Amino acid sequence: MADRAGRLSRISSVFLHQLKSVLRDRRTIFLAFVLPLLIVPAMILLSGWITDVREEQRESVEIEYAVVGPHGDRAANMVRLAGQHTAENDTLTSLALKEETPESPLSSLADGELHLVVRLVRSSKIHSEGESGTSKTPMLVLYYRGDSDESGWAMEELGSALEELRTAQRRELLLSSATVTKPDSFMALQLTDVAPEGRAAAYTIGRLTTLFVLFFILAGGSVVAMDLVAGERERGSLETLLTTAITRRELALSKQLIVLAIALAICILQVLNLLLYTSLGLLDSPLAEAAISPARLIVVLLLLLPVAFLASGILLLISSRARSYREAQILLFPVVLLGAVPAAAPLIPGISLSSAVLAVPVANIALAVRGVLTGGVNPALAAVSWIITGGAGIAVSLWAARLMGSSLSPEADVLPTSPIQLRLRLFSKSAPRAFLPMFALVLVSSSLFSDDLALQIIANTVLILLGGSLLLLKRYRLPLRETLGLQLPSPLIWPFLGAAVPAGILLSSHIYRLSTALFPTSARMMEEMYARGIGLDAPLWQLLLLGAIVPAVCEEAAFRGVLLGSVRRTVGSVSAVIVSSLVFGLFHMTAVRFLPTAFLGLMLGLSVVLTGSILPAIVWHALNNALALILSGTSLDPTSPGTLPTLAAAATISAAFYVMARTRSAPSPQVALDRRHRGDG
Amino acid sequence: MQDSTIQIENLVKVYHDRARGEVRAVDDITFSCRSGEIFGLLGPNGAGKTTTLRTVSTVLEPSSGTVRVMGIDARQDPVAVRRSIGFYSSTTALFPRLTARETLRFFAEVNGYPGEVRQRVEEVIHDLDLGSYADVRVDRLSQGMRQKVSLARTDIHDPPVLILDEPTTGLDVLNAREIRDRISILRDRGKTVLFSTHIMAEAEKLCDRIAIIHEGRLLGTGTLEEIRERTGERYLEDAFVKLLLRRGADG
Amino acid sequence: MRSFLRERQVVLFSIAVPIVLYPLLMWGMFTMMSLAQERGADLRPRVGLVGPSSPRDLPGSLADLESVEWLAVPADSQRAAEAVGTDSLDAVLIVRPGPSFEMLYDGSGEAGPLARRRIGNALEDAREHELRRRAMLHGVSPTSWEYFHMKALDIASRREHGSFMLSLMLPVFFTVMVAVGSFYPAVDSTAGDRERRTWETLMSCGVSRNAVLAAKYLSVTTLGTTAGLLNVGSMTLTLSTILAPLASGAQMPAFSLSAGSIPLVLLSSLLLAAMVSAGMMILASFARDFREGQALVQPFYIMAILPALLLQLPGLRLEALTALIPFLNTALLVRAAVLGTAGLVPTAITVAVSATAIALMMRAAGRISLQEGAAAGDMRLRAPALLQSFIDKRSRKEGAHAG
Repeated sequence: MADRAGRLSRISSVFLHQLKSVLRDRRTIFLAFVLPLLIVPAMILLSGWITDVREEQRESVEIEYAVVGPHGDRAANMVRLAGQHTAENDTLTSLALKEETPESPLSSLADGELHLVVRLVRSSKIHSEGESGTSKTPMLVLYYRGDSDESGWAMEELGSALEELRTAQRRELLLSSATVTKPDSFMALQLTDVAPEGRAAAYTIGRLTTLFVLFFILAGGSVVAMDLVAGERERGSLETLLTTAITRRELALSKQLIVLAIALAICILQVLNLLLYTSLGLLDSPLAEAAISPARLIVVLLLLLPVAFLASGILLLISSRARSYREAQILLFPVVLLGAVPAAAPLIPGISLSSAVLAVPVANIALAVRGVLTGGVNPALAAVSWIITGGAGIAVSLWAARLMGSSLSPEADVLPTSPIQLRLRLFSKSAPRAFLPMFALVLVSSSLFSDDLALQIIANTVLILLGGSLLLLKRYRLPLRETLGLQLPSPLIWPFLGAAVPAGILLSSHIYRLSTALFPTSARMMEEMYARGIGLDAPLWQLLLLGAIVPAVCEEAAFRGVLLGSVRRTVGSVSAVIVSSLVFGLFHMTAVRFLPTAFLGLMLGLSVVLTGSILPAIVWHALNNALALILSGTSLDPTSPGTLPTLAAAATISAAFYVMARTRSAPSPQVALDRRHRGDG
Repeated sequence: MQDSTIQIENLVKVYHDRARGEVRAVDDITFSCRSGEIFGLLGPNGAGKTTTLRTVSTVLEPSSGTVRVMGIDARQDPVAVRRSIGFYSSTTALFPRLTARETLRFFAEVNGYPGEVRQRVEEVIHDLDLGSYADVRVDRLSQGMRQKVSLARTDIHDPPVLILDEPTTGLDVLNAREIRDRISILRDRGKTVLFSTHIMAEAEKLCDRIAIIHEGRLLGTGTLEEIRERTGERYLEDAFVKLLLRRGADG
Repeated sequence: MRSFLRERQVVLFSIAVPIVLYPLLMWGMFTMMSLAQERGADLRPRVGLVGPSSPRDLPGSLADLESVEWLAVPADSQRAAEAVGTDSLDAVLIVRPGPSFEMLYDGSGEAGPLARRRIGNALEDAREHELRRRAMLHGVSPTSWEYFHMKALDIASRREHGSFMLSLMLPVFFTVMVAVGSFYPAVDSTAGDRERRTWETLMSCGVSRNAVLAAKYLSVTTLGTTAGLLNVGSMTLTLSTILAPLASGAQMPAFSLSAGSIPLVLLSSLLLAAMVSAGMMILASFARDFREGQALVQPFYIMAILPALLLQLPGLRLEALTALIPFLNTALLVRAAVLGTAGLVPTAITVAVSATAIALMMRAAGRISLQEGAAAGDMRLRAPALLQSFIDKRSRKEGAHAG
């Protein structure tokens, strides 16, 4: 009990003193409080002003046009009529038209001296897009320039004026032929919005609240957070704290509380600020119209608390991770951007809290907040969201605590003694990082060769993945065979492997369905993907070479050989398999393919860990791709296997893994390499 | 056995540096400090003094070997060790925007000073003659004043052990003298002071016992007289060089 | 200059990180966006139908509308209306004899407005169709009914579209990127140097201070420009990469420049980079340490972005008058260069004005650092501390005592 009281007093003491210290820093105050207060409304005002000016210009633009073609007179007449119609009709904005007669109207348009060129065509030649009109109907063609604001506006304005003219004309016709007595009310649609007043505005706010709050917290809290750990580490006062009787966790918690307090204060100030501007009429925001009861507001605040906690924890984590204030600043930027992603969940239509999103911190709260503001949310789900996000916050906080203490000391592990071990260690550290540039390169090359699949495969797999892997090995002068794991496994595993391939495809079809449920893809996109995937008219051997063998060899060398092998040395086999398969999935670029690919990677990674060689994985991968290629060519639909085949497949794969584990003769190649050289030093 | 408040046995601290590779900053050092003495760690820059002291104060974890403070293993219960020490080093700065008084109060609270915190703070302020500066922000104090506040901070929770890493570096003669006097006073109150310096004269003046280290290795320990006796040199500086040469001859 | 390149951190973060980061970020963003789009298209609002027994009985294209889910609801329109906005219904369509239509929808959500839009459009189609049919029956000739067809043809090529978009985006991105890229070197070479005490070493060397400053400025500009160009390059590449598979071919603007405009684009970009770097330097030279430099530079980001925002205003072109305003003119020049509309006179004026501005800024930066270099301890500025003053004049004075 006494200890708990001591802990509380320590935490509160750090909290209070550091808060005081932070608040005395004028620069922090300025950056965190004053600047955002000035900037946010200024930005909104400015962009509003620019929109206004654009609108004004659009309305005041005088359309300079010219007519061309044999029926120029009629065209000119029609344009004039449309202009007149807008002038006579009170409900329409009247058009300012100015006819010009340049020598060559189309080139004048291209030079920007004209806004529009109008041509009237009598024949049906232009009716290319299957329009139902009869050939006698004249066709008005408006030439404009899509890369000029004025020309685009002119086209739109004149177009709608002409349409108005046509509508009026038709109305006359209807009335004069006595077809319909009241054309205006014929089949009219009366619209009523039954949502209570202010609900639509509340909905808008609800969609954006979490995003905004998160942004304010990340932006405002960052200055303080960066200073509290990275800054103090630089100044040395962090070490002073670390030599006192306070534990790392207590320290992290109290610092996180400071960030939280400041961030919340900023947030509230921002909201008040926006409210003030809104009530002064300077800003148009949905805040003015939204009807939100105080009770709901309190619930929203409660819901947002774990988000704020998590966000401040993340800030602290960055700050603890960084060795200096400067490094922290650099790390911060991408995190702020990435952090906004889950908070944007309510912007995606059709996502509800009773789905997998419930498990995603921040995103679940964002949805719950939207729900609260617009009426319905399941309290149980909201509570689960609260716990999940809060839990994530605590986890991050603990992580930060660990980093805060540990990163002070230089690396203290027992050192390898032989040069090859040292190189292996360095390799393990830098190899995972090398996958980032590789990813960027793959992205670039995919775009460069988007037309030619064969080239794309060669560039991505052979040049980037295999080439990159070999370069890494060369740089650290590591033996190819052992680092990648290229020794032959027991021959016993091959038949089992053969059986595991179709089983794997069957299982991954389930994953695929799950993935399409998570990332709904329209039929059109799927078809396009298929068309691209198998649209090669190449002979079968070429298909198999490019689609199965080459990717299998190169990707296995990179993902299972280099990545899995290196990550394994730092984080252990299980996490390494997971990490490598996730990266493997990421490299396949599309969201839909991510999960199935990662699943394949999981199986392949497991086989590598179990056999200590990447050869089975290469064979598996190649067979898998080949089988998938052949299957997609046939009409066989593997998308919905029954329960029994699924169980059989799972059993087959388990059996294959079992055999791999039993027949394994040698320890993993890198471990062996390690051991062999341990005696050297 | 319990007579020694700080026990260091076979302490090794290795770290990895990209440029230099493996660095054995502290290499198999063993010594112990008795209650109520000033123990000086003497050695040139980069000898491993700071690393040793940082390891004792649990900021760093030893690569191997044990550190015990007041009988507590630093690895097993670092918090308890930290509670019973006050650590000063050039890397332990103060919070620039707190005043001296606030700083002292803060560290007394954080270290869980058992008695009345306010009273203790006033006492220390009076002791160190900080009165007129107590409410000035630390970043506006002079270097000497800052160091004094730092020392006060180290001692504020009345720990039995003080670990001071080059407390007089960067100070002028008067300020350094003041700090040294303060260290003597603290010893007289029964505290163990483990302190490092590269100034031989300072060690001569202040220390009850001395350990000389160089390049992470212990060259010798003992009272000033013992070292003089062993090396046959009058001055510590000469003794140091002699030890160094002897070591070189051995190796 | 070399000492920057040696500092791996600076190089890594100002150049390498963005290159890797942007493709990743863009990829993530576009995946999100296409996801949102697909989901929106797949969303079928539930609409209750009051009146006809089956949606088959609805007129024209309404009957075939598959993008909403028709539900049978009680004929009592009052009760149907009450169901709208709850979990079961997004809208109710009431068909009255006539026919006339009434739709109740829940405007506070995604599905309600979607139903309104889809049904509204389908009904409009049906109405047109029906009116036309009736008119034909009453002897109205198709030609007079149709009156005319209309078609808008865009004569701008894909490349022109591309350069239009580029002309709007490039100056903004480029300014920001150069600012980001030159920020670290700028602060590092002034405030960082001062922090490390190498500033005084340099200043006490036998080289004229202006030369030192100019050398520093050049290296900052070089790094800033490199970062800016690389960033913009990688962004353009990413744009064409990511957008290409999303937009199917034809409407996709081509982000390429005509060969003739490239030199001018490069020149103007360089000029812009030089301006931005100069601004960075002058701000950074006020700072005592890295952190302070950072605080000072932050407002500059915003200032640099403002003129770029103004570019959104149509009609704002590079003319003799606008060419007189520093920063804005450079941004406009970049834009004009991309569009290929830069005139000789405004370009010359812009270059002259920018050069003068840079010279002035460097002089100011030199003076500031000179004073501080001379009186190392006393950080208080005797020269009017332009931007600095409003940020932390007081803490500066306090700092002076501390020194």
